[in-house]
Amino acid sequence: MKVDTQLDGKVLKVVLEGEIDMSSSGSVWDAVAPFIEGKKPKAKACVVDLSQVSYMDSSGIATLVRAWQTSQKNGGKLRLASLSDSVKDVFELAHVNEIFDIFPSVDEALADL
Amino acid sequence: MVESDDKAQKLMALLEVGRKLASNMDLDSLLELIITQATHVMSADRSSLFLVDKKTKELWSKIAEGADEIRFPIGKGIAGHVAATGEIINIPDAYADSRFNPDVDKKTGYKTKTILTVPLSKPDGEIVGVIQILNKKGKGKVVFTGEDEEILLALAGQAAVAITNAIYHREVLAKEKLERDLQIARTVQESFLPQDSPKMPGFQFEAYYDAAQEVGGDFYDFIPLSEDQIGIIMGDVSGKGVPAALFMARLMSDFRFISLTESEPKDILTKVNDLLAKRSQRGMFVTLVFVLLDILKSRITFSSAGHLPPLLVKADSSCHLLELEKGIPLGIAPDREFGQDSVPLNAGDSILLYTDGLQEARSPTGKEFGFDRMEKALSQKADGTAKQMKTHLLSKVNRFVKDTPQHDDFTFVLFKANKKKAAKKKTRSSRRPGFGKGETISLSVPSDPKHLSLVRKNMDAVIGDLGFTESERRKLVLAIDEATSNVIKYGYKGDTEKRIDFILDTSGGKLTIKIRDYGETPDVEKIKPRAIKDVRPGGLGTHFLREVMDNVDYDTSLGVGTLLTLTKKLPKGENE
Repeated sequence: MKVDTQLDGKVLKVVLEGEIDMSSSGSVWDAVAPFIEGKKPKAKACVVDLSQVSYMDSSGIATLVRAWQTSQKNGGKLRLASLSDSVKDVFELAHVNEIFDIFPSVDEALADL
Repeated sequence: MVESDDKAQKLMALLEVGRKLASNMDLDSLLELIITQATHVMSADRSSLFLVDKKTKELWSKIAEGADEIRFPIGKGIAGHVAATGEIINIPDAYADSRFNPDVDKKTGYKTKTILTVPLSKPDGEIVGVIQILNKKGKGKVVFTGEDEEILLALAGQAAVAITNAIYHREVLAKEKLERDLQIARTVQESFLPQDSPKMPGFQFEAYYDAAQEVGGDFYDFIPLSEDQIGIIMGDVSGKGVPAALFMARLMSDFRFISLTESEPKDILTKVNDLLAKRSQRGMFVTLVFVLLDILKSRITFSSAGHLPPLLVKADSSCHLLELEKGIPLGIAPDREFGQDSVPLNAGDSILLYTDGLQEARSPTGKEFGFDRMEKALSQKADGTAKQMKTHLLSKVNRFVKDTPQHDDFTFVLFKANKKKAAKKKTRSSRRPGFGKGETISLSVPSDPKHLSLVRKNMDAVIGDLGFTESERRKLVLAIDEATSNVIKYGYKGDTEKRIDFILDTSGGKLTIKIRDYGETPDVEKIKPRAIKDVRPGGLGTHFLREVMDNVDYDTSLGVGTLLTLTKKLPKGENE
C-alpha cells in the first residue's frame, strides 16, 4: 500500500496504490487528514486517483466516506477518479456511487477546480 | 453480685459471638469481626490478631489496628511467645514489664497500659494464631482478671475453629476455580486438535488422544499442503495446564502459517523455532516431529526437534525406529538447524508417531509399556488396516495398565499406505492450494490484519478454478476478507495473536467457506447489516457478506468462539 500526496495550490492530488484493507486503511487517512482537516484546510479540493488500487474493502470505503464528510464540513470538495475494477465492484456493493463525485480520469476531475 | 452479672453478660455475648463467627466463611471479614467482638466483649480499648504462617514459622497480621501487614518470627515478643508455647500472658502494667516493647507506642503515640494475650487454639491443640487485647476500660486502675482470661480463651477457641473453616473454604474455592480453568483449557485444546482424520487417496490416517487428569501438552495436527502433500505433526509441550494448552494452540497456528511458505520440514522447524525463541515464554519449549507425506511419491520426509523417533512398521511386520539426529526442542535457542531424512513407504507400510505417554504408560506394578511392547502390538496387526492396528495397540496398552491412573497424556497418530497402490499418477502437483471439485482445503492464520492479504491470495487461488466471473471472484474474496476482518475486530477484539481457521469445500454444487474463531461469541442479533447510508466499518462488511453470499450462518453454540458458514452456488456448467 502506497499513498502519494501532492499539493498544487489549493488542490490536493492523492494517488493510492496497492491493497487497501483493515491493515492499511488507517495509513490512507493519516496521509490525507492533515490536508483536509481544520477550519481552514490546506486543500480546498482533493482528487483521489484510484486507478492503481488492486483491492479495497469496507474499511477503504469507510476511509473515503470519512474524507468526503470532513471535506463537506470544511467547505471543501472531494473527487474520486479513475476507479479500478476492484474499486468499482466494492462501490457497487456498498451503493456509494451516488454519494461520491466520480470522474473517469484524473484530468477530468481536475478540470473545473 | 455486680461481678457475676457482668460475667453472665459476657458469657451471653460470647455465645452470640460464636454464632456470628460460625456463619462467616470469608476470612478477611471474619478476622475483622473477631477483633471488634473481642474488643467489645472484653471491654477493652483495642485488639490485634495474629495468624500463624506454618511455612515461614512466622506470625502475621493484616489488621493489627493502626498498622499495615506485619510479620515476625514465632517466639519473638509477647505474641510470638504465646504462639510458641500456648501460654496466656496477662500484663497488668506494660511499662513495668521487660517483655513489653514500647516501639509501636512511640510510633503511634498510643499509651499501652494493660495487655492480655491468649493463643487461638483448636480443640486438637493446634495453635492457629494469637489474640491480644489492650487497655481494659473502667474507672481507676483496671487490670484483666482471671475471669477475663477464661472468657477470652473461650472466644479464642471459637475463633480458631471459625478461622480454620474459613481458610479451608478459601482453599476449596481456589481449587474449584483451578478446576474450572482446566476445564476451559481442555475445551480450548480439544477444539484445536483435528476433528477428523484427513482423507487422501491411497492412505489411511488414525489418531488417538487421551489427556491425563490435568490438561497436558500433547498435540497433533494434519496440515494439508497441496493435493498430494500433507504435513503431520506430533508434539509435546513442556508443562501442563492452561499455559501449556495456550502455548500449544498458538504453536499449531504458527505451523500452519509457516508451512505455507517453507517446503522442507527442516526449514519449517528452523522458522518456527526462531519464532518461539524470540517469544520465549517462561522456559516453555516443545519437542516434536514434523512429517511431510507425499502421496504421489509415497514417501515421507521428516525432521525432529528432540522428539521420539517415528516407528516404521513394514508390511512384512518388521519394525524400524527412524532414528535421526534428534535436534533440540523448539523454543530454547534461535538460529538452529535441524536434521532431515526421507524414506519410501511401500504398499502396506505404516508410520506411528507418538509421545512418551505411550511407552511410559504404567502397569499396576509400575512397569513401563516400553518400545518392545509397542512394536510387538503393531507388528501383530501389520497386515490389518490402520484402524485395526490402532485398536489392537490400544487394547494392549489398556490391558497392560489396567486401572492405573496415568500421569501423562497419551497420544499417537498412525498412517498407512494402502496395500494396493491406489494413488494414481496425476498430471498436476503443486503446493499452491488450488483444488478440484468436492475437495476440501483448510488454512489457518494468526488474527493479524497484516495476514489478510495472504488470506485473499489463497482464497483467490482457490476460487479462481471454479468458473466464477472475474467480478464474482473478486466479490467472493472481498466477502471472505470482510468476515475475517470482523473476526479480528469483534471476535478477538484486535488481539493479533489468536488463530483463525478456514475450510473451503466445493461439494454439493456449492462453494462452502467455513471461518472458525475461538474468541468472544458475538450477539448474533447485533450482526445485522446496517442501513446502507450508514457507512461505518463492521456493519458495511456484514452487508457485503449478505450481498455476495447466498447464505450466511453464524454458529455460536460451540462453547468457544464462532463458526461462520458462507455458501455460494457454483456457476452452472461447471457442476457435474
